[in-house]
Amino acid sequence: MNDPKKLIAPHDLEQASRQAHQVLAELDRILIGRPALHRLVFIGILSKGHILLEGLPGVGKTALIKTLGQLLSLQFSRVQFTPDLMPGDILGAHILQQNSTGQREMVFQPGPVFTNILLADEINRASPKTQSAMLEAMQEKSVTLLGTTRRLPDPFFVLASQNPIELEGTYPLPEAQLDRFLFKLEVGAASSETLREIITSRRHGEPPVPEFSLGAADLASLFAVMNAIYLPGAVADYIARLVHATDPASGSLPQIGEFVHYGASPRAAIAVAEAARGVALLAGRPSVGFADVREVFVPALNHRVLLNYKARFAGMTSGNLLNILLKSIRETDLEFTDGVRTVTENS
Amino acid sequence: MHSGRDNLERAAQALRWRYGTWAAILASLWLMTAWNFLTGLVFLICRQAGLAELEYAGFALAGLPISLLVAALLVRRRISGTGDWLAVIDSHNRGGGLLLATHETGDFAWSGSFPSHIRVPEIKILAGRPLFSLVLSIIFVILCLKIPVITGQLALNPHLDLNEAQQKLEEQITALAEAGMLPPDEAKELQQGLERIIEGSDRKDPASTFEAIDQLEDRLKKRAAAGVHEMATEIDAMSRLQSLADQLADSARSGSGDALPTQALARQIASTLEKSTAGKVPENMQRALDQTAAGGPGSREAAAQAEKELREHFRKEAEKAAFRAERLANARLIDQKTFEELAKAGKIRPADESDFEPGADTELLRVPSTGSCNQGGSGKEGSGQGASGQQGSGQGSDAQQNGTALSGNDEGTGASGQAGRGGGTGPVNFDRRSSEHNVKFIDEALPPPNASALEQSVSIGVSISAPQTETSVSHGNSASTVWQKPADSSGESGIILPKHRSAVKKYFNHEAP
Repeated sequence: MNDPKKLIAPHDLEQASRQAHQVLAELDRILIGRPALHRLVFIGILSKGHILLEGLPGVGKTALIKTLGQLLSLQFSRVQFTPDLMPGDILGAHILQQNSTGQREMVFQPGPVFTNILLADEINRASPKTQSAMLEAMQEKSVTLLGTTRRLPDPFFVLASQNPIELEGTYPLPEAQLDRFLFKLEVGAASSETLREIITSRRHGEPPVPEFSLGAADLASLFAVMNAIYLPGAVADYIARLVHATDPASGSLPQIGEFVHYGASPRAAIAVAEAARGVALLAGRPSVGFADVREVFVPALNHRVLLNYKARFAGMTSGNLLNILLKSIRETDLEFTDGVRTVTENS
Repeated sequence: MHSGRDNLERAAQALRWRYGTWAAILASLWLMTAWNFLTGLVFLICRQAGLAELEYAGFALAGLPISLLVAALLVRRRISGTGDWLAVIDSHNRGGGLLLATHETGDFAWSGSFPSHIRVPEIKILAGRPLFSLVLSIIFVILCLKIPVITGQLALNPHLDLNEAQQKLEEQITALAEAGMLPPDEAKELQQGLERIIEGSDRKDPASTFEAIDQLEDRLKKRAAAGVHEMATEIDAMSRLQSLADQLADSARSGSGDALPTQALARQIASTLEKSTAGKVPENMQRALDQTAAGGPGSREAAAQAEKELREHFRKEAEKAAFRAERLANARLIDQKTFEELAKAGKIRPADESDFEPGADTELLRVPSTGSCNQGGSGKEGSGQGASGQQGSGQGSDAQQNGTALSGNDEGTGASGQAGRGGGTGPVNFDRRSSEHNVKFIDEALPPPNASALEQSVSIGVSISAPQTETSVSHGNSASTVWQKPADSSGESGIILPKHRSAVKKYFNHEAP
């Protein structure tokens, strides 16, 4: 299945795709009105990436993460980040404990980070010290305390949320930590139809209990299929050109040179490629296509492209810039002769 | 499986050909542009060096097949393998990378999922810039063919442009020949010499050419002067003959009975006429003169006939001389000296008012101006002291001067002339006084200075302007000065600023102890 010169067998892919669609369908049934958000979050889960959800209180961020944990049969922990939260409150601490022989010893008490899905609610309210404690856990998927490194459970996801309002007393996430999130997704307000359906079908805001859940073996199978999704060279080149174009020194677009302070890192290119694989899996294809890349490009890079003050004055957002970039960079660039272009549907 | 592979290969091949064709056309446009500029420049240099002719201009067309061939080779070299074309086809068909993955892995297990009909994208060519550049290059080629023609001919033709001088000299030679002042053989020889001078002219050494032309022109003028001198001599002889003819007529009309003087006059006329015409005396005249000289009963009638024939002969000779002189004048071969000789011979007479009347058939010789005024002061009847002037149309030394000899009027009150362009030929008189010579300024009596009155005046202020004296009688000797308003630049102002007003008042109101 993992032979790079072989495409995944249609049967294997079909089964994985069906399971993924079942999860998505159940998620859409439980949480009403956000299929696109559910799709991207699940793609992030398939890519083993961390996701940052940004939205107002009460829009269903926590419910989404909680439901996802139930559907995937994964252990779920929730930490409400506050300014006085210390790293030990997340990672765990050594406490003095009396053993059966009556002797006292330092025993490691794991923190809430030792779980499969960690919901870091309002992560920007914690101090930088506490936020930094998450760096190793998110990237290395391990925790080092008093010289001892402890592995986190596999899979490990951080699904963080932050409130875009009430910014007083908050600590914006540093770029290094932002870069560790696969997606930054905006959770917008629900439509009136959605609200109507919620208030008529959800008494006391309680979502229905999931009727379906993936087992650990199924989830492992999904991850294995993800690894077998083929990334063609031309598509990889497209991703590379897109990510490189976010660098203001690349000269790709005048707007990039004017508004971008720092472009996306190589980690961003990896994230796009991984997330595009998830899109291909959901589409039931053994290979990543150009359209898959376009679908995940903005969510994967909108928090990785740092804009300068000019962009703030001009009201330019990173999402707008990335959409302009998507329209400007051609999927295929033959570069044989200047002046000859292939007329494709998206050109 | 093979069908899927074949479909991919066919689609890639079709796109490659389509793309390659347009790319070759586009590249050939650029190459033709470069070719035009390069060969145009080379052609320009070659033309300047005299190594290329205009007929070689077809070089631009030769670049067309060469450019196409080179462009095709270049595009063929640059067009890569199937993968790049399949990427375009995959993108165009929304294949989700399946076509690419199949091609790269060689695994056709998913060929059943290929699109039923793989569409090959169209090719769009952006030929605006290359076409514009090509048009520019074509304009450059045309300029190479057109503009350097002048400089190219200059480089190829080292001779001087002597058309005007050649035409003038040829006209002079012809005029001399027609006037009988130059034998045909010598005229032909001079004509050939002129052609040799023109052919031998060199831009690098124009001095020798112009010197040769000057020598030839000088020779022609000398020949013309000699011819005119001879013509004047003939006219002198004709004058004497005319005098004799008048005497013959008087003698014949008097009818005194003494036929001897008449016979002697007839013999003298016949002898003189024999010399002047070199023995070509008209037959009728010769017979009448012989009959008169022989005497007898019909000698009176013969004398009258001879006098008539002589006058007819004089008229013809005068017309002939006038024609020759006019011909020489048109050819600009008669100068002032020659003109004076002709005037002395009576062939140029002062014009009178009747010459300017409408329909007047006056035969006046047209004489080229030599830049000086003709001093024809001896008017026909005038005894005045006015100088007859000639003011021609001065258009440079070489231009033909159509001046007319005119005379002063009887009162001699001044010169009359014909105004024309140029500097004219009248003398420049430097000691002439202007019309305002004796004009004087009117003396104006200025008012007395009243200095004594000023001495008795009292100063009440300072101003940069001079004080005015009051001339009013009522003031008598006081002659007080009138305070003048200070000018803007005065050192004293009449306005006391409010800020200091109180201090000033306080100072002046202070009572001295």
